[in-house]
Amino acid sequence: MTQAGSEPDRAHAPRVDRGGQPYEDITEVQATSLLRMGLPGPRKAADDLVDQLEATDSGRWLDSLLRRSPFDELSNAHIALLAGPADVSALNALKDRGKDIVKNPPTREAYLAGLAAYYAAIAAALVQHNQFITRQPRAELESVLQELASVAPGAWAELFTKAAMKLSKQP
Amino acid sequence: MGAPAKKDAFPPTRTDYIDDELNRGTSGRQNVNRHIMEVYAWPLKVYFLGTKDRWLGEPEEIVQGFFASRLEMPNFFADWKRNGMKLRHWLINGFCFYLKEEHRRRSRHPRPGSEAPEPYYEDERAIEKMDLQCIVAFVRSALEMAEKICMDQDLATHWRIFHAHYYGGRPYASIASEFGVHPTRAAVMARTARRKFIHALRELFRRDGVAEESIDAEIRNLLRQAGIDLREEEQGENEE
Repeated sequence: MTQAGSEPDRAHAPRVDRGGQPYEDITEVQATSLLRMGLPGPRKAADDLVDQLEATDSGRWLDSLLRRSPFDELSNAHIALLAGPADVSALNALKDRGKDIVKNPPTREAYLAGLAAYYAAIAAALVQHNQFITRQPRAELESVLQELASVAPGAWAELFTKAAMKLSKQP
Repeated sequence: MGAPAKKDAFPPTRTDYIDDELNRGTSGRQNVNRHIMEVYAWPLKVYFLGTKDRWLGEPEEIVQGFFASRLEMPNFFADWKRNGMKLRHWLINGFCFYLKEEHRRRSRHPRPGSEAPEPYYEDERAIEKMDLQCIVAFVRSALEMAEKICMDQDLATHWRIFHAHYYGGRPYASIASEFGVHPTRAAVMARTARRKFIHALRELFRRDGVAEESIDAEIRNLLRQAGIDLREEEQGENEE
């Protein structure tokens, strides 16, 4: 899986020289703070999509999604979403269709496709038109987009990262 | 190790990983032993340095002696499972017994000019101390494991940004300028490495014999031992 910003690190040595044993200087405060990270927060629907992207060959999985509902309702979905421009009304329709499927999914695969359509449409509207087409709180959406970007492959990671950047710049 | 079992007040652990490895024979047993030595050498050394038994020898030598004496015992893991203790408690309990054995052995054969003090036993306190040291030991091991995974997957920069933010406590704005990326991109890259760290941390608990469904409870238990107040989080979860 290709992840956002995965260019080789040439400017920095790969391992931090901490002298002696690795992480020997860790304090109890650091350790407890990092241990706490191991506890999952309240589960959101987007977490199901994040898990799916992390667990599968996500590039191939997303490509296969684009050939089926609800993505097949958007003309040339791959280019429209990742390169653009897609019409805002078409992105709104894709988002709404995705939301409807998530509310009443016939299968788990359809549920995940609905989630992917929902977030891809919102991200594309932000990146291509600087438009916020959801009532989700911005900070919450920014966090979801960052998390999706952290596990999504190549161009999808770029879409979610750029959408999150747009939110970080907006009031 | 003959200490009576101390009842755990937390969900019972299963031992799937350890059982699976032990069923694989010698190589599986070596994997389990390696996990124990990698994670527990450091907390046992720290514990030893805090006892009055420091005169017994160098911490490294004592801890390696303990591993050599116990991990090769054919019934070591079977006895642990029968006992029902958490692995770390079983180990610290065994370590205290080992120190007593060493104490007796060396008292029978004192070095010229040295006088052995009375042995200092503190089994109950040892378990509390071990829990606190294990927080650090687990997190250190998870950091090492996740760092290696990131290096292997060409995610060195992701790891360095994660390290700067979550370990070093630096804000993304400052890290981003150092790495020449947008702060949001820095946050995304840190999240990629963060997920590797979380998976490594949970994998370590699994290797320690904690069942997947008990890992959250185990982490909460350790955090409470460290005096962390989790009421707010638990309240949030109950409202979900």
